[in-house]
Amino acid sequence: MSTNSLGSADGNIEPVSEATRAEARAASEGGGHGDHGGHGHGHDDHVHPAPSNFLTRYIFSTDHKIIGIQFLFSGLLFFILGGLLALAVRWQLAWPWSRVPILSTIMEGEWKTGGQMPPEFYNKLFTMHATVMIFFVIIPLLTGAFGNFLIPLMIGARDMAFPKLNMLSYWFMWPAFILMLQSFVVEGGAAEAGWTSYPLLALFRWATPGSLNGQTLWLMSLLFAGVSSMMGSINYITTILMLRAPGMKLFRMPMTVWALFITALLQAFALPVLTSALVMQLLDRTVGTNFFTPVAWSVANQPGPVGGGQTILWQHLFWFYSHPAVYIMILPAMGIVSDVISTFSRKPLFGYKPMVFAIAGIAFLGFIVWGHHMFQSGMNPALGATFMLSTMMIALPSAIKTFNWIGTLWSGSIHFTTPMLFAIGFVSMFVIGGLSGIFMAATPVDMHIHDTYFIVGHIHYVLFGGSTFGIFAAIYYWFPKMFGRMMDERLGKIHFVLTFIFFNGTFFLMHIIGMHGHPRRIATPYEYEFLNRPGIHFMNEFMTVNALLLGASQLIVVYNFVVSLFAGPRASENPWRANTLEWATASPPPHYNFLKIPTVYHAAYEYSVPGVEEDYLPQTRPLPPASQQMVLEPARG
Amino acid sequence: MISSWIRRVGAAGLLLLGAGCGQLEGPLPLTYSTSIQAQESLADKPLLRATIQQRLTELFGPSPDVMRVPPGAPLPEGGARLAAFAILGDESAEARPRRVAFRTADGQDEPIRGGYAIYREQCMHCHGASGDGNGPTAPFLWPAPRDYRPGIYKFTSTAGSGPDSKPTRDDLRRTIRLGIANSSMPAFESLLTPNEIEQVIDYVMFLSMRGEVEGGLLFLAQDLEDADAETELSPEAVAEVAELVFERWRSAESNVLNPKVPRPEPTRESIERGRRLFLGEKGLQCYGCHGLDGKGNGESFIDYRSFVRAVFEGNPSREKILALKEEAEKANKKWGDDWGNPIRPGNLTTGQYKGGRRPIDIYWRIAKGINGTPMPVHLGSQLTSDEEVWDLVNFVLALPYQPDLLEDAQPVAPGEATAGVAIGSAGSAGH
Amino acid sequence: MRYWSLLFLVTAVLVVAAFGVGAFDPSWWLPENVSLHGPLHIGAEVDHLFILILVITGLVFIGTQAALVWTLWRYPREFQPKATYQHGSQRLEVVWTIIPAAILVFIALYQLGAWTDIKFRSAQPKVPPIAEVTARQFQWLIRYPGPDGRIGTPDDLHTINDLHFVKNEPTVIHLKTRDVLHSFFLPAMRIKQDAVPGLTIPVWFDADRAGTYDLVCAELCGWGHYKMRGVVTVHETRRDFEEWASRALEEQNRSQLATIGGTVATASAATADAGGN
Repeated sequence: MSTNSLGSADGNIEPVSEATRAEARAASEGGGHGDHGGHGHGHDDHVHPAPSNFLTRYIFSTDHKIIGIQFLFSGLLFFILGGLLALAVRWQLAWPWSRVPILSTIMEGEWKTGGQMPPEFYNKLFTMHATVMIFFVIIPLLTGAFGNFLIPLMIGARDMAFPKLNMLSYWFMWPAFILMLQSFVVEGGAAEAGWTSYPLLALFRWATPGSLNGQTLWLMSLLFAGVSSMMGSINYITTILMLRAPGMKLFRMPMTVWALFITALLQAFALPVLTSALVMQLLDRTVGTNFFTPVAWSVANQPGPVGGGQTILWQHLFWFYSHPAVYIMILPAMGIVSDVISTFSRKPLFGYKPMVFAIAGIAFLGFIVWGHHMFQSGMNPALGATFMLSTMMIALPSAIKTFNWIGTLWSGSIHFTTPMLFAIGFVSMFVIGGLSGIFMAATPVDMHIHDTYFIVGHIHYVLFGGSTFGIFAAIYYWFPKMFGRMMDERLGKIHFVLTFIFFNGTFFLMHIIGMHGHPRRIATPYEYEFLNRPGIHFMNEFMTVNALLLGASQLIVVYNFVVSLFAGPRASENPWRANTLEWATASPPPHYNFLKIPTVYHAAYEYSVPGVEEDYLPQTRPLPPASQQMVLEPARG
Repeated sequence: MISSWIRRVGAAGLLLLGAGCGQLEGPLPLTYSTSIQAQESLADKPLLRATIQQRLTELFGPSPDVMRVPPGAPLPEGGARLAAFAILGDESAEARPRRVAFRTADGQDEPIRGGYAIYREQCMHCHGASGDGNGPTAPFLWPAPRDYRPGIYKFTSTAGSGPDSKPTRDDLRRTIRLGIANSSMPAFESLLTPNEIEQVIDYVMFLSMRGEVEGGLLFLAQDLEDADAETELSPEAVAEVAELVFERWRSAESNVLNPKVPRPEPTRESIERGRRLFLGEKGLQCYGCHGLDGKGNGESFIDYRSFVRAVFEGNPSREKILALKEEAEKANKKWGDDWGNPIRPGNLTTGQYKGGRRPIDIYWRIAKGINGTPMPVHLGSQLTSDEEVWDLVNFVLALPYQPDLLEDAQPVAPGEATAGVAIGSAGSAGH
Repeated sequence: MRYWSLLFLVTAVLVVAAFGVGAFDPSWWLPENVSLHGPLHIGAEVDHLFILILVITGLVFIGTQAALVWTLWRYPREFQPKATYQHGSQRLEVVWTIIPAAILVFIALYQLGAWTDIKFRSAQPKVPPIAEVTARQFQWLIRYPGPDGRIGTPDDLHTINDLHFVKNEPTVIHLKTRDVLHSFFLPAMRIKQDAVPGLTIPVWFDADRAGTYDLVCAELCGWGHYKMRGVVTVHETRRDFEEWASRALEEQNRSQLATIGGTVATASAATADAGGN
């Protein structure tokens, strides 16, 4: 084998068998239930039969593919919930205090206001919209669903390094789900201090109705979600470092794996801080500690308890996690998009190594920019100036990535498939989301647009135009691998066009009303004279109509997803003619992923290699000798 | 035009979402909450209940959405500013509501939104559709939002107490404009135009009068039998009840308590006289509730711990409030107001005054008390002259800036000789 | 299917066009700016930076979208059956690293001066604070020094949601909060500062036009957040301001209702009478 030397140089042959032994141990523990009777252990057979029991096969499964699909389904369900919450927010902003269809009818028994939502209910809507979308949809979909499903397949492993831990990471999400849903029905209702949960609004039980009980459940729910992410990230890091197939050097890994790897590092380093902050707030709320309460403070006309804490401390701790979390939400999507664009341009990824370094650079800088959320918070303005510098610099790797994507498309042979369209949509929209970030990085400008709709527009261009488009690209791209059936391309394209148009219709004007000073998180802007103008009314109504249509357009993908799941045409092993390892096994892959662990001969993006008949060259096939010299192999070392 | 088009497309979008069953536009119907059904004495008297309901409907309309202004109600413009659509007093019950306009000073007819619409938007989520202080936000507020139906208002300028001391329009206007300090009542001056505030005042008075008439009829019906319903609760008899209510409101403006002498300079002597009054010289027990240190923690009131436990700990609950009441009554302490809500005596050291900070506001609070609360009428009982009230006002206004006024203060026994003590205390006050 | 590129083209054109609507409807643009020509001209600096960044990012946006659209127009599979086999270009990478880096460093350094002018304590105008603004759920409690010129004495003037100052004078307020976080936002003067429990934060601004403007609470502060509107009144001259203040103070000192003759008795008037006697 020509690459043996490469493989052993990286030392990744030995770990494979180690992990297999770990897996064998795990399986033998499960064998106590008696359904593994015929299974032999101890010899070097890597292939385990799939569990035959429905419960262990589909519910409490340790198979990374099943766990990934579990994350996918729960994430998509919460996507619907989060979307409906957003539509109610938009309705209120366009037609304040009017009757919200369905919602008002359901809630009228409690409100007794003729269908008009109470203002605190509006605060719950946007708080829970953001919480659900960030913690239950985007992060679990990108890292949980696609991270789980793809990492072992793309690096040529049979499963994660710690399959049981992996299963736990999913089942730790369920307490989070249940607590969060429960918070809607407790006295006072769900949390309403914004997804940032700034004290003292979040701290004092009577500060606002949602802080009475909902906030406690919110904190506990996020603690569980955080533990789940932590388990996942440890697993991903270990798996990627230890379980790569022979020949899969780090710089031969697909961008998706790179992105998920660095995301996992981000999570592993940032999450402990969020966890401690959540615990501190929980202690402040329940047992009367004073981490965030100033001396003798009083809220809601209640004479104050003792204090001695610092309110801004929460902001530092929270953003120390939550700024990296923004990158946790976008980096995997960037990786996915890189893979999709390269595949459907039939062209090697432009500047693979700079792309990797850019991701690493974003991750590193991501840790030293949290203060840009706090320019107006009362933090020392001199400190703000340093955060401004690092924030400006973080735009650079993003710019490099964008140029490289365009470079990949350039002179490619572009196939306009649905995943490709979403990936191009990602590039196009991410440019807007990235550029609007520069406005906020400039501290004096931030003074005007901080906490306005400009920010809301920015985050939605990054998180919807970016992450969500990436998620859609991933769903359309890997659906055949996940379920062995193809999704309908025509419906997919209609879905893309409508989503793209209505997405822009919904979110672009947020920049405009934001620069006009429209504050965010406000139940109606029209109490303010400078906002009570026909232009602002028009824009708010226009955005809401687009949001409703955007929501309606998603019915297409729901329909497409469900119908294709049961009745889509059977997918071949490699329907997109792609190079990466997950396409080198059956669709859907068997329980053990690969009958024989594949050997990797080259980097992931060898498309249209001269001298090769087809326009792709799977990583499992060596490069033809003629083109060996032409390949820009990554430098050794 | 664009906006209605957009709304229609929006509605269509929701139809696509499968939402479109039933009516999409327009609010859901509102109903008045009613104490008629809850009245125990009427439990087995369906005819009486129905009759009261019918009389109320005849007078005030069936629901907040369809209002009638009863004949003789003391509302400006005949109540036309209550709503954009209204049936006015002299029209038949079958008359269709018609759109009303407000005649502005220059003689133009200008369609108005009406107090009802503004109230719905700004006030209802706390004060409730019926003005019963029980909107969806209300359970999470302390002090509790006002229930207008008994017709009692805390901060009034008129003589008397309880429902007899009706607020003038100016009293209501001030509360709406500036809000109430240390409560959740926001200041609406920057949110509503003066004209809109007048419309809201009309509507608050309307809700209050409706509630009072309802209460009056329930009181009447207590001792009646079902058979008497037609005779005893005839429209004429009900009109008399209503007229009593209207008369009280009508007379408010002429019943204002205007101090006969203006406030004297807050000299050290005046403040010292006020201090001694506060500490009980003439039998006033100010310190009993407000505390010897003025921080609102006096012996006559239920202790602060119990109050916090009942109000702020755990979920808002009627049971805990009732337990607090029981505890207070057992210990012979004050605890709440006439609406059955727990309250605290004012902390006089913060410089925040619920009823306003003008000397005349403080004068009214002291002279005629705060209606519906343990703060009693003082002028004419323990205090005999305006001058004494003003001394107390001067003391109260000085307290936040001279905290040593009440340093180690001890009660002054009524009738205790003044001279020696006064000099000593004045000395300490002058630190 | 090169026509896919048109979707991206049209979107990019509409996005750029959305900023053009501001020429016809001012609510599509930055709000009215009254801090252009005053002594501090904070608004002028902020708007200048905003427009500078808008132009730079706009050009970058147009450039990248043009490249993207052109690529999608030129290289669909029908026109490019076989992709060029190419892994990247070190020269290009260097170029598109250095140029954006230079632009970003330029923006960063260019706006640093404005930031120090606006927020650094060293830049605080040497004037006594015109008022102390204390935020609470859900209003702005404002306290002006009375005739003695000091805040925190019995002659202070108290207003709610009503901030007054004088045109073309650097104005300082002391910002506090009584309960949760709030944010003091004057859109017309381009000033925003959070009010933080336990801190007293000086904030300075000015206005070059008399009039009334909105004071916005920009930090979520509970169920009534949207109701927390204040009004800022800029007076033409110092004398107007003082006139307003003394009238407000007179009302604040009212101790009797107006008599039939229309004269109002106040504590100060009473003192004058007493002096006359």
